[in-house]
Amino acid sequence: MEQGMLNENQNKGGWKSRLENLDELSGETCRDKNALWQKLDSRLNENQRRTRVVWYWAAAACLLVGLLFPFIKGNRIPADTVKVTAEKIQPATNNLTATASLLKKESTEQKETVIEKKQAENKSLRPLNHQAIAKNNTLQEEVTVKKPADNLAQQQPVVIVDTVTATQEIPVLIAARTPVLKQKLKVVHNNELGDIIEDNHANEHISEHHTIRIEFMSQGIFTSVASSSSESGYNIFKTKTSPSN
Amino acid sequence: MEIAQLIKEAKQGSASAQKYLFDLLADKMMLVCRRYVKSNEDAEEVLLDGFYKFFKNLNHFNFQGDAALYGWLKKIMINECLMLLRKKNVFTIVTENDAADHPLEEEALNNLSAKEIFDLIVQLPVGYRTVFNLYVIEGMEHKEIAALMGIAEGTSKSQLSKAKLLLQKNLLQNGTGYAKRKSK
Repeated sequence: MEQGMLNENQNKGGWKSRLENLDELSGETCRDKNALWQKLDSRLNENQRRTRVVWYWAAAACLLVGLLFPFIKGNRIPADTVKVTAEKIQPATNNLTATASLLKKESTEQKETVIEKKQAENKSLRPLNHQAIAKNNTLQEEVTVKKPADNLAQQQPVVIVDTVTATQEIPVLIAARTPVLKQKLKVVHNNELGDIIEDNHANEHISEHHTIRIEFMSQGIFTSVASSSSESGYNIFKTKTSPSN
Repeated sequence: MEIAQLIKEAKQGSASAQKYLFDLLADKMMLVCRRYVKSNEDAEEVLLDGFYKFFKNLNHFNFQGDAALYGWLKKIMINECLMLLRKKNVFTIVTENDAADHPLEEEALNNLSAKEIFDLIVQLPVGYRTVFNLYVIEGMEHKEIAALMGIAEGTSKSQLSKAKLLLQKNLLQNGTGYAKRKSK
């Protein structure tokens, strides 16, 4: 059986080779070779045309990108501008921080002064309910002194944005850079003030008129301490915060 | 013109060289297609697809002689034929066990003309014909045939066996030259 299969596959000089070498057979040839070639040629050309069209589109796209590149690039703010703007903003922020710290310092001083005054007041008034009055006063003063700090915190971003409006794209940057200044004032309890000592000399000393002027940017904050009238024996403490203009 | 020169020009995209190659090889390839595909229209369609692929992939072909070119083109045509047959879903052959192999009467076939052999093969049913062509004429193994046609190896063997039996039966029934010569 295997011999037969071998013969089948090794039949070189026999019927297979005759069949293989058959170039054409009557009735089995292409009916219209030219028509077939036309079809084939159109298919080949169509493919070439398609490939060419793809290349044209690719070239056109590249050209378009090339032409639009300067415009695309022009719309972007160059890194130098950002750097310069950031440099411009930095001093402003620093100034602001400095002013804020100054303000904080002054407000603390002011507070101290107020506390001293209050002590004097307490001495002169000699109220029965010492603690209640002192507490009340302390709270009032804290609120009064906090005001400039609150103002500062509210005004800060506005001031910075004004400085930056020329550059147009920095608000985010500013928001990141601007420190939120939160004025935390020390709460002083009545116990910390110590014993109240009656001293008439202190009254005389305080009776001088004090005016503290704190100026921040274009706004001024005035704090005035008016002396008490010696006749009535009461001290009047006034604090005024108002813009300069 | 030499075929090597024609191939070179065809690779460069010369339409005239391509046409010349087509004219030279179309009839021969048509015969190959007709051995696999019965209808003339289908054979022409396959021929066009095969030549299209041939010209498209010509750049990857290294010309090493006429036989190599002919072998490559024939392989393309056979693949296209099998693709068409698969597309038409003609290989719905039920899986069969290995059948006993019947030796082909080589002597009888050797006495036939090329035209008579061709007609005998074309008369076979599509499954038998395809396996017979691939195994006997192209010299493929059953494993390869099974993979190409998507059938079991045993099925390929049984199809070949049946094809040979039918071929011998047709040889006697059709009153071909062989039968006439044998009777003499």
